[in-house]
Amino acid sequence: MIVTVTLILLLLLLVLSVPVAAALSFLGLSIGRIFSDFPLYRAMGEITWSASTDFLLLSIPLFVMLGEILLRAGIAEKTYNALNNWLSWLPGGLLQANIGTSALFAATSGSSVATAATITTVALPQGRRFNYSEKLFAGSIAAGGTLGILIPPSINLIVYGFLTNTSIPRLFLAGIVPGILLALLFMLCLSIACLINPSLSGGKQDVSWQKRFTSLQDLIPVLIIFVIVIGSIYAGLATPTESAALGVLASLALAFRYRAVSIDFFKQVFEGTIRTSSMIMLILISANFLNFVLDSIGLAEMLNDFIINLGASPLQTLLVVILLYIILGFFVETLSLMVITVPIIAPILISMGYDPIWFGILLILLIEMALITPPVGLNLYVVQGVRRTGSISDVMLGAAPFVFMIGIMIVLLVIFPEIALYFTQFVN
Amino acid sequence: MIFHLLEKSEKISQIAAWCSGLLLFLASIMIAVEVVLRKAFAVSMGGADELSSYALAISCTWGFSYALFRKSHIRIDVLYCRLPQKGRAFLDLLAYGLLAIYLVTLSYFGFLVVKTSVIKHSVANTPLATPLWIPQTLWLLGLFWFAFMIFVILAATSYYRLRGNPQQAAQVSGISTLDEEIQETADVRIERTQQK
Repeated sequence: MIVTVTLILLLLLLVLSVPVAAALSFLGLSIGRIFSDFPLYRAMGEITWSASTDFLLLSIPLFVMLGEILLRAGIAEKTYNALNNWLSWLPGGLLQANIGTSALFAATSGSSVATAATITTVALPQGRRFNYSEKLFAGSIAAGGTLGILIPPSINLIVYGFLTNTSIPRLFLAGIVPGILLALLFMLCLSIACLINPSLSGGKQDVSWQKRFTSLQDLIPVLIIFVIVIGSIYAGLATPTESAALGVLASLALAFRYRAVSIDFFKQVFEGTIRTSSMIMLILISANFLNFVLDSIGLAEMLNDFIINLGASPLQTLLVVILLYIILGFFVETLSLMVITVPIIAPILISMGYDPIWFGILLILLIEMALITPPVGLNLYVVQGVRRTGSISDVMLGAAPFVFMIGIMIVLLVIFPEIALYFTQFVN
Repeated sequence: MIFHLLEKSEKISQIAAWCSGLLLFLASIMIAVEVVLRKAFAVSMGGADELSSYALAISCTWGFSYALFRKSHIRIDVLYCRLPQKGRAFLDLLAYGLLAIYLVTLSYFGFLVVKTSVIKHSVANTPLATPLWIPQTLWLLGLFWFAFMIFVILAATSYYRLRGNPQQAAQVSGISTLDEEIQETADVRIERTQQK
């Protein structure tokens, strides 16, 4: 009964294009009103204050700021050219650089729109110059942009950790291997495609070793930032928020080195940071209140009873959940999708014995898929929006092989959970 | 009249966003210094995490209105983009109306939080023992400003609709198109590459 009412109310509000944050709060207020004898709404102020002073959540605006600084300092272009020098010998040359740059860059940037848009602006002129198949070229950028939410630091993983009370360092650690594996799968897929059909690839570029080594000076600083952020977490030197703060300063030093820093630069960085992080925080504040209400009325137990009564096995339940995310992913924007579903679905799976860290990584893979599947795959539209020629269905087709690769990765992760979990046993 | 109000409000929200960004930036410097001191010299200033979580709360609420003017607060447009203009206008009013109700409710309960802190002389349970009403008041004022901005946008939308200017109304409160969003987030880069 509660579940039905909850779902109908939520769908209604969302379909009516009520801002997601407001929809979640109304849901919380009305469910609390209908199904609880306690005036749960009175806790709204305290709960909001405690969520907005959560030290862990501070990592979100700081990681967004880190990405903004790198973005506004024009580092994407330098990274792209440098990576191209190193990867041009592979079949598919620039296509491989698309994946590499997106992975490296999206890993540090908070906004997939900004990342995909930036990489498209930087890469597309080059792809056209060397006569690459534009379908696959555009598709590879859209797909590469999704890697960032899996490879740490990932804001989506922080959101998941916050909603499920899971350790962020362990989530970050669990994301690395699947993230790199998926990037390699993408690159493998591109290599095979270009070997079978060389017309997909463009003109070969001959790069001297000297040029490669000179370009290292553009590549190493970005890697250093990555190592500072991730290394300081794993070495136990810093919490995720502290490592984000270190990353902000390191990226600013890099921006200084490229002489990008000015008053205007700071204004743009601050505007970009506040735009994205305020949006995320308002949704999280509301989701946190909804979570509190759902906890108080014991929704998780009810759902568990319901599922047990159905007699579904853990594996069946998992398959239904995966199917549900694939379907919802066609239609719902990804952050909203996570915030709406995680508080309900994660507890069910966890109580069935699935590892919360592992499910977090699986969920991110499903979300990555949602980012490049029509009709609502955001990255597809961003790439199309920047390239301005041709049709969106070209980008969709170009991204299709990568959807398949993410599918393979999901299957691998379900069969071999160790891909995500093996390294997490080394931290406590 | 309403145009000036809108313009002024947006400007103030933008300045608030700059200040909020600066606040977060200062917090990150403070945290970074604290980490380095703690790990390298085993010295702790103490209180960096407490102060920076206040920075988060304050920058959040003061940033909400800027995100509102940039149309960043996510609305699902599955139905919206299939409706004729009249239908969209109705959904815009509904969306902002409900957002306004939410924010008035939240501001009221936020006010109770501050009121309680003032009456009970609550201090943070930390070495700094910060009187909680100070950060909480700044946080609450941000919420008030955000709520006020929602009403300004509601008023402007209704005004333009009544004056028979639906385009203007949609510009104030419609869902942003992807093109707008790309321009917002990556405009600098697009311009730069085109110059070359």
